[in-house]
Amino acid sequence: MQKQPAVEIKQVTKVIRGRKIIDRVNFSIYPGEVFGFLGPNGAGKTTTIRMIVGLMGITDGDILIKGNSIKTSHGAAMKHIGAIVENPEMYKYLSGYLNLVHFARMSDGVDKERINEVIELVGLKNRINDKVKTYSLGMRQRLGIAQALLHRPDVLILDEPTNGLDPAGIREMRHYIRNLAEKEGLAVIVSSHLLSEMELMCDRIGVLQQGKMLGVQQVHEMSSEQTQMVSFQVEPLEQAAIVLRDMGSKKPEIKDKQIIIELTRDEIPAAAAKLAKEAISIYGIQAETKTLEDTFLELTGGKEIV
Amino acid sequence: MSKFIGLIRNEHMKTFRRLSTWIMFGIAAALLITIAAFTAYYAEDSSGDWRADTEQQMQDLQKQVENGDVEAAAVQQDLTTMQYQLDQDIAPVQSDSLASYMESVMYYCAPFLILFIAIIAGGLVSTEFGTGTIKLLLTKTPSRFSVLTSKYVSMFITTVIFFIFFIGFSFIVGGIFFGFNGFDAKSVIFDNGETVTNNLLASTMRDYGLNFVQTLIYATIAFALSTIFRNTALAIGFSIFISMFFPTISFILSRYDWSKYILFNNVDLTVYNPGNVPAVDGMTLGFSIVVMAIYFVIITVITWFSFMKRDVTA
Repeated sequence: MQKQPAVEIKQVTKVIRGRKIIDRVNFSIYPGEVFGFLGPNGAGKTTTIRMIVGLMGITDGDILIKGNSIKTSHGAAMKHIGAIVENPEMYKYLSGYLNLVHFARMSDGVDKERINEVIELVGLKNRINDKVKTYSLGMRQRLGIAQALLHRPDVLILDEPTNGLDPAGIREMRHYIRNLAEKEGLAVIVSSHLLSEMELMCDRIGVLQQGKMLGVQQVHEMSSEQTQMVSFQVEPLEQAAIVLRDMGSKKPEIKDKQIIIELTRDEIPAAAAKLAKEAISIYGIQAETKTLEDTFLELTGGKEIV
Repeated sequence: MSKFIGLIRNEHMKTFRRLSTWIMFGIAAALLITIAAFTAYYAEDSSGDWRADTEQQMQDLQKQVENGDVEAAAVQQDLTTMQYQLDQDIAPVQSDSLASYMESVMYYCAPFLILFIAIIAGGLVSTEFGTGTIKLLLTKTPSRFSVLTSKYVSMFITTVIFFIFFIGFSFIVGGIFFGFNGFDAKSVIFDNGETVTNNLLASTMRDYGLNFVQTLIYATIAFALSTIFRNTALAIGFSIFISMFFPTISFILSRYDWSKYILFNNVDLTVYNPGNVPAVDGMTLGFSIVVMAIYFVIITVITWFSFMKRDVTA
């Protein structure tokens, strides 16, 4: 990642009533990537997001949006940001369209055409003239995104974007966010309390606990050296265990009529070929993608990530 | 600048797309029509010759004094006024005339104007916090200063619109009920032992202007409380409570000289009109304007400072 970061969080500290809520947090987000922000409740996720968008002051350190400090040049920094902080709260007594007109007037260079373009983009065309109070939560989320995208930002910040959505809505949202990052080159910051969801959506995940950044983990880059737990549903079990004995670093384990063995990614097809050669019936092979969660549990000291 | 106008248009859209604002206009219209209907219904019949009527009234009053029914001093003002009207050939204002109706509307509806504007001003900032929309409002390019200033300017314009509505609507309703005439109607007022005449419509407009100042001060207080405490009920409740009950409190405090420095003793500038007296002796129009200006600056500085510096946790 040699690109210029879209968002730089530099040694940011937040003190509220003498209590250090955020302690020297450091990270950068680059164009075209989805960055997941994870942490237990009260870890300071929302506080950090509120500091990025200028809703909360920064006690120490600085946040740069495309090189503009949010502290000293709020207007220039906010020009590049589209955000939904927590719930997509809109003016309920106005129509979806008037809500967008409202936010268009607050930004430069957003004309009627752009409003219609965004409406088309989020698929709200049929209901845009209805009052927002008649919208479902999913539609409000979409209107929220429309509002955030109006002024063509470089950075999109979504706090709990899938909160309250049904599975289909979550899938749609995920697809949508990936699209914005990959095709439009936006830097997207997402916070969520669902780790499994973050894995599907994000390129990198940062873990925050008690105001400290514990680490940033790459998600999709599965290096060939990295091992994962693989379970084989095979018959007969004992024979298969013997076949797989010399593979992997640890001995294969038999559990729940399955063989569980730690393998690298490259070893999985080799193991399958070996089993097939010995005429063992293979009913299924599953790679347990628990490594990320395990990493986080390790990072947060075994505490549950909520 | 064009963006600032955009912000004001946004605030206006939010105020005038709300049902509650139109309910206020509805109540105001109903109120004005009701006052007109009552005035028309209860208007006293006059014989057409006001001179004869006035002379008759004077004779009745003098008879009452001779019989000892009333104190001579109590009716002296009335008698002087009537004599003045006869001498100067000024017809007394009929209650069922456009000018008189517009004056009563101004008099009776001034508290309603404060009520309506305080309700609007008291919710301008706090409802944004209540619904969470403040987060969207403050995460755009305009600074917090322009967002708050646009809200205040919008509140000012809304106040002007309400005043124009009351004046315009009462003129139309009054004209329909009582005829579009009598624009030169004069009232005779007893001021400092002297009788003076007043064009009734002109003095009504002057009092609207003075009430505008008072309404704006209460609206500013509602706006300030709404911004500082982020609580609509508190903002509206406090400003309306003070506007309604301060006259009583003022009366109790009037024996203390320092009470003239209380803001609410200075907001009603109609006390400096001919024939009226201020709450504390020695208060002047200039004094009240200075006191209001000082309070206004202090309140706005605290309000803007609070809005610009504090974290948004809504």
